[in-house]
Amino acid sequence: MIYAENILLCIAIPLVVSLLFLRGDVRRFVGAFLLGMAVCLISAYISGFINLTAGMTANDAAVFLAPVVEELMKLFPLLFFLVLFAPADRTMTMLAVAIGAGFATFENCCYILTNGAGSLPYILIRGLAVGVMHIVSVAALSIWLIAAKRLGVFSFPAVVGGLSLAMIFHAMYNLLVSVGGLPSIIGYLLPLLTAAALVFLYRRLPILSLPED
Amino acid sequence: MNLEGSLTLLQIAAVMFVLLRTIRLVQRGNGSTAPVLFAFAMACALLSDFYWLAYDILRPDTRMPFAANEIGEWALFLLLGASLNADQPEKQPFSRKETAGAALFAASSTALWIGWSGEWVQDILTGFAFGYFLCCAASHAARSKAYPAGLRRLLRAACPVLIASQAALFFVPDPLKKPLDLFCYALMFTVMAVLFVFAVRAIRIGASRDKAVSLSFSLFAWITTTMYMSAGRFYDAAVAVMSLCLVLMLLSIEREAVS
Repeated sequence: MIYAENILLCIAIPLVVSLLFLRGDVRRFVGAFLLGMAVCLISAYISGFINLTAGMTANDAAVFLAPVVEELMKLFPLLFFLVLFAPADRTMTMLAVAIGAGFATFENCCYILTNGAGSLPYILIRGLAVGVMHIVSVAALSIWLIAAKRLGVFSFPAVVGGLSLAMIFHAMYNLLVSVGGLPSIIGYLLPLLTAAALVFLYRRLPILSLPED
Repeated sequence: MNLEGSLTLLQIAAVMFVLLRTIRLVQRGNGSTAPVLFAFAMACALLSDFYWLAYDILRPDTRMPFAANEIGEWALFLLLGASLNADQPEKQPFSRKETAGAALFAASSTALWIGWSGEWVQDILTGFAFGYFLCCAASHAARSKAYPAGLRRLLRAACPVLIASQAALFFVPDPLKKPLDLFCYALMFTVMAVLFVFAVRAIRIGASRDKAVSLSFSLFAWITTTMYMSAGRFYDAAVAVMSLCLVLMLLSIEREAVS
């Protein structure tokens, strides 16, 4: 058992203090990073509650339930920013990446404290797979929302569509790595390959390309 | 790979083809939002199918619990419904009679799904999304006068008869179950064949764009209903027809965007 709230406080306090000295995009990034860590903790509470009430096994909950809860929770702050502050597209993507990075960082911290950090190869796989996966899923979601906005179809169905893609991508990763052998290798490679595809799409499709500062 | 897996692969190929063609259509851009929403819907369908295939390969012969691909299905229904509404003039309201009928059909179907699976929350949410799509499809059909009188009469008769027959399966004695079950399948596949012929004819003879869209989307709705009410080989047959239906939907959307 670990005290996740204490870990969050320990990591968050220096970052909160640093916010006082920061301005502009860096401040927004650190703020969203903190939010990502908080979202990770709340997701764990909700997943745990549903897991207990639904009587799912721990493995089934991790494979099937966690992606739905975690992606939904990551969507909320993003949607909040988008609807309330109508940020520029570039800011929106930056906020999304920060939320994903904060989420992945806190999850990795808790994982390492629970399971130890003795195996460097496994830690690297964990960082490159789960870490990248959380960033890619939320970045893809933000790109989807930006595309919906630019194409004039930003609506409830479009938001649910983007959310479902992020959830399925996350669930696919969890499903593949839960099996072992070749599927898990494919699973570990999936976030990196998707990140590469996303960058490629970003550059190829004019509708997705973001204006420079 | 089993037959179901092969059919999912076929569907993935069809969805990918439809998605790429729709993206090209969006890039050409004539200001219509219907192809954009349709492309979004196909993206959801593609990822849902990939997930389904991965699950089928990695955990064969196990029932899938509630998973992310179900949310992909809800998104698919909502986006297809929105694409039907996209290019309609704002002042045109939902056609009340047709919408009420579609909502009733969706509610009855949802009750049947709950009866079969016992998964309340999941089935009710799926019912809402599917109901929204059915209401949009029925309303669009009424506005565009897509159904000839014969087809309209057939659908008005087939929907309640299908629901009543499926509901009766819960109560009839065992010897009657098989013939009644076969009757349901015969009804579902007959209506599917009729709708398929009408949709193909509308696209081939150059009927109005609204009519083609309406008929192909109605076919999609009926195939989905059939898939949710079928098992075994019948389900596989419905999946195979669904792949063709997606191409028909693309052809009708393309026509809509061009004009």
